[in-house]
Formats: sequence, structure tokens, C-alpha cells
Amino acid sequence: MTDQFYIQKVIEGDSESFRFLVERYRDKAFSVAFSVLRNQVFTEDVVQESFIRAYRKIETFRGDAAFSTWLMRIVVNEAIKVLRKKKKEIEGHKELANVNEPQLNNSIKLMQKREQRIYIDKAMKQMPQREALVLQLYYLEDLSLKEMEEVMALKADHIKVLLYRARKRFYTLLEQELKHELTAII
Amino acid sequence: MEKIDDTKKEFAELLSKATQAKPSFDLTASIMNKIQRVDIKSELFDKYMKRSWFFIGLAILLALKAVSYLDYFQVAFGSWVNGFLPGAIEFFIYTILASLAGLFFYQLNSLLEKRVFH
Repeated sequence: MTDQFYIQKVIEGDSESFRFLVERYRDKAFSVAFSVLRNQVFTEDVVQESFIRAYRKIETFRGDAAFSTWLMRIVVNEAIKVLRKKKKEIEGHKELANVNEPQLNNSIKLMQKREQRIYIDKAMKQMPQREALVLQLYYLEDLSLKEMEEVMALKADHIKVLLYRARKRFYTLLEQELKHELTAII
Repeated sequence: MEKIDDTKKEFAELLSKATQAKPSFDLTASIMNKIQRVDIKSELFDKYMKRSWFFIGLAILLALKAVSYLDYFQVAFGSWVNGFLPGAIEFFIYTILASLAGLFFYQLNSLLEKRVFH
């Protein structure tokens, strides 16, 4: 069944049909919110609040974009609201190193899975939330630029710049973590 | 789909190795629970807004009583009623007010019971 089918049922008064939409998009909403908040408890609150807001506003959903895009917009807005309230926004340092990305990729691939996860987690933790969000949406949730424009309320050019910087910063941080580990061993 | 560069898949694979956080409880159940409460509040609001005459009437009576305007009613009929039953007017007014309030809470309770047990 399509999203539109369940949305129509909810609008007609069958609130139980909303459960299908929650089941379908819960994990995606959680991942996106977590990429911004980096905190389990905040993320759980934001996801719940987002779905309730979507339920309340479901009659305003016009169907010109996908429901998932519309929902992710709500999730991102809620997450940013909480982030600002908790004052946990990470600022990015201006300097981005020129990293040999293919070489770094190969180095990571040679590691055990557990080690890979440790370094990647450490790098992601230091990413500014906005940049972590664009990485999450574009690379992991596979959104198109058009969809990202709608979710983030930014123009495509701005998103491209963010993506470029985010990718560079990720590799910079990853390299720093690997170097730091190497220094510690020596 | 517009792509920025050809290494999107490789980079996505790298990022996917990060720890994927999971919720610590059944989010779906929690969300649906909260939605039911949203429904109850909406239903109550709709039900009683439709019966606005009830609220308007109650509000007018309470306001009249507060500013002692009901005293005029008392004066008009008080002497006649109190003639054969002292204090009856006061008793009558307060009984009406209490009954209206009671009716309101009874209906509220019935509605909540219907939602909780069915």
C-alpha cells in the first residue's frame, strides 16, 4: 500500500492507519535525528514529537512531495530546535586538510570491522551537526538534491557546498584520528 | 537522481560503518499512545464546542452570580418563594450551578471511560 492510501485513511478518521506510516519511517527518522543530536534520549523525544506533529498536520500534506520528504523536514526542524535549546551545536574549524581520500579509504578497509567503527564514530562525533546531517541524508538515506532542498530548506548550490565541506571535514577528522592513534602506539 | 561525484557509493559504504543508533524502547507503541491522547483531546474539544450553548449558559450564570446580578432575580421572586420556603432561592441557584458542573464532569468521565475501555 502506498503512503497516500494510509494518509487518506488517517484524514478520514482512522488514526490506527498512521501506525503503518510510523513503522515505515520510524528508523529513517531516528537515524536522521540522531545524526543531528548525537544523543539517544533527545533523539527519541524528537522522533516522537515529529510523528505527533505530522499526525496533527496531516491534512496540510499536499502530496506534491513524497511523504517521507515532508516528514524528514519536520524531523530536521524539531532536531535543530532541540539542538539550539540545549546549546549543543558544534562549530566546524575553518581549516580542512587536503587528504588523500583513496589512500585513506584503503587504510580503513584493511582494518577489522570493529576498529573501522571506532574511528569512523570518533570522526562523526566531531562533525558539525549540519554537515553530519547532509552526509546522512545524501549518502545514507540516498535523497536527491531536490529532496534535500525540501528537507533542509536550502538551495541546491548551498547543499553542494555543504556536502563538499562535510566530506572533506570527515576525511580530515578521520585522518587525524588515525594519526593520533599511531602516535599513541609509538 | 543528480549525483555529485562517482564515488558516492564508496563513501556511503564508509559512512555506513558508523554505529547505527537504535531506540531503547518501542517507539511505535509510544507514538501511537500519544496520538490516542491527541485524539481524545480533539474529540472533547469538538464535542463541547458543538454544545457551546452549555458553556455560554454556564458562563453567563456564573458571571451573573459573581457580580450579584442574580440578586435581582432573588429580589423579584425571592419574597414570593421565600415567603413559604425561606432560603429557597439561594438553594435553587446553587443547585442549578452545581448540576450543570456535575453534568459536565459526568459527560467528560463517560467519554474518557469509552476511550480507555473500548
